[in-house]
Amino acid sequence: MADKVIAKTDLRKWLAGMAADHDVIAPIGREAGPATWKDINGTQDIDITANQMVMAAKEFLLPVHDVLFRFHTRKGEERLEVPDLTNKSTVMIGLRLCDVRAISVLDAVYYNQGPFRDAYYAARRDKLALVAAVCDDPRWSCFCTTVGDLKEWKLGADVLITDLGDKIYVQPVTEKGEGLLQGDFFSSPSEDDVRKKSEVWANLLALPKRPFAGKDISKIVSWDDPVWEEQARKCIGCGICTFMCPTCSCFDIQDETTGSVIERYRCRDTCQFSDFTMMGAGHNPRPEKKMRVRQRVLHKFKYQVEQFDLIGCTGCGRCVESCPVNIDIRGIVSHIAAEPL
Amino acid sequence: MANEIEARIRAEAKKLLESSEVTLVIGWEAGSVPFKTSPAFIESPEDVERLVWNPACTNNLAVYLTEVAKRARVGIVVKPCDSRSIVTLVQEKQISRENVTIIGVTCPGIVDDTALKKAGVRLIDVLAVDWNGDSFNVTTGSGKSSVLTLDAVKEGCRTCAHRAPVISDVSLGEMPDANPLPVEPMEGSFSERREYWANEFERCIRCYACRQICPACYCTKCFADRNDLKWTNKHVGISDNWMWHMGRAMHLAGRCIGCGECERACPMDLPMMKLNREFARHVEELFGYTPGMDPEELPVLGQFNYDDKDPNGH
Repeated sequence: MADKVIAKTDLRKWLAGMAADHDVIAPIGREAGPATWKDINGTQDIDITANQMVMAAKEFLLPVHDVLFRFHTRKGEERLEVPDLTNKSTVMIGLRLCDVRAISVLDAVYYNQGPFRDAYYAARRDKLALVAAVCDDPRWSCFCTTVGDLKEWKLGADVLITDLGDKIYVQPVTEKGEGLLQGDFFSSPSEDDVRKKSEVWANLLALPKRPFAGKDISKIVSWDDPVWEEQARKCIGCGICTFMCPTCSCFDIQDETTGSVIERYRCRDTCQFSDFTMMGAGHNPRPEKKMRVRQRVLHKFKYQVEQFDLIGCTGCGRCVESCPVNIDIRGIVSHIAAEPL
Repeated sequence: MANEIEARIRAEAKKLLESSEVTLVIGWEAGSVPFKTSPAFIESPEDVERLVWNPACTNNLAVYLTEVAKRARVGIVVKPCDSRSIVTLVQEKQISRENVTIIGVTCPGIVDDTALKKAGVRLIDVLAVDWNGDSFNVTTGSGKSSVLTLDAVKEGCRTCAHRAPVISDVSLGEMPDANPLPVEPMEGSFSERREYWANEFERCIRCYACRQICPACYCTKCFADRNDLKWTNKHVGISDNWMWHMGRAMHLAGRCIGCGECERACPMDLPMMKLNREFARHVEELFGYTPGMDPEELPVLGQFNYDDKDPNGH
């Protein structure tokens, strides 16, 4: 598979070409708040390599309101309506390597589960192609290189793109990805292009690592570390960290009746709410905030490591940026690595 | 100015802890990055050195009082807006005034990361943010120091007319110059406003951070969490989002003191202060009441006068 370059002025032609056969979704900025994954149709202002705050890819793969089925109860017209899961194929363009990694983590939970593969997730995932941008301008909260090997993560993408200024360096990773690179606006990269692309990679890999890089936190972390209580005192229990997290995917299932139609849907839920573990009979196995603060960190750095051999944290920094009381997971895990109990 | 006040905050906190007048002092400590601070819970006199005072001390620490001030006497460092939250909590009998020792600091306005971003500052370069008379100094990694005017304050501070704490046991700092912007009525016709808010509420992901960060949102069971009487579904969509935001704003009418923490906490950047200010403006017009000023006063919706104005003109 050969690398290519495309002039930025031709970017729209490439996107339009893909849009003929696929739904093409990209981070689209709004007047306020993070950019959101929307169809590029009719949108002029697309900057696929801008390092802006973007909702995690789960916005597409696990929508905040995911209809499982509807039940029509009008007398004589009773029927079950299951949503059409035969999606058109979709191209997500403008992901980051951390987002690609996050999809690998979601795959472990929803997809690579043998007979228990989630049909709704799989319908979207099966026909999904990932076009990921290599970061040339990491945010203040980024720590991807601390929690993983980007050269391994990139293999989860179908195409990699690197911003070279007036053009974009395009590398197919999979055959599916190569299939997306059709058009006479692609040309072979010059030596200079290759050198510039390697510089972006070198800069990214030189991102300073946190003290817990390479340490197996799952083996040294303690339930009794005072850090949980310290952080819990600050924590206001809002759950933004989990709502913004690209790998947090816990859900609630709700029934809602409108007239004669009952809709069953999945929506977000979070281990940071005390209701999350509340049992019907009134018992709550995770009643204290410190247990909930601990759960979020350990799910990523211990339980998912033991279960899937994957660190559940991708170092994207969304929780770090969004926490209103400045609870910084980098500090917590650094503390655990430096002073294990 | 800030360093001197910081030293005095530490000294006062130390005094309170050493005399055992309180077992805990809540203040701010350095954050994980130079443009943020984090709430600090100081229990030992040796730890008072952790306390800081700078333009990033944004958290309204009164949010923690309903939990801790029920059990023990605590010290708390407050800005003027935070002090008004304490007044509201005392008025509504959520805490007893005797259980809090208040170290009050005057405040020229706070700079949060949203305000910095709006002013065009690259956050990754920031080394320090300090007050400098009637403006802010932002020192960046490239050695440059840019000066931001007080226009660059956090959203809640823009219309703030209260620059000194309304109650305190120790008061620190000089009265700053401040030119709060006037609170204008919400613009547009009914249908225009409806369209505007539908567009804003559509972004909401219903994480309830606006509720959790708010000192006045202390209900042990929020209406939005009840499923024995379902006021709102968990459905993230315009109808239920609308229900949540109207319920929140209505419950804060005559109680919100305008610190702006809800808007700061919101990961979707919903302009909640616009709603809060509109409700506050109505309450002020109808009842001549400003919330959070006098702990002896009854809350506006907890009192009734025969000559109260009726908005419907009856």
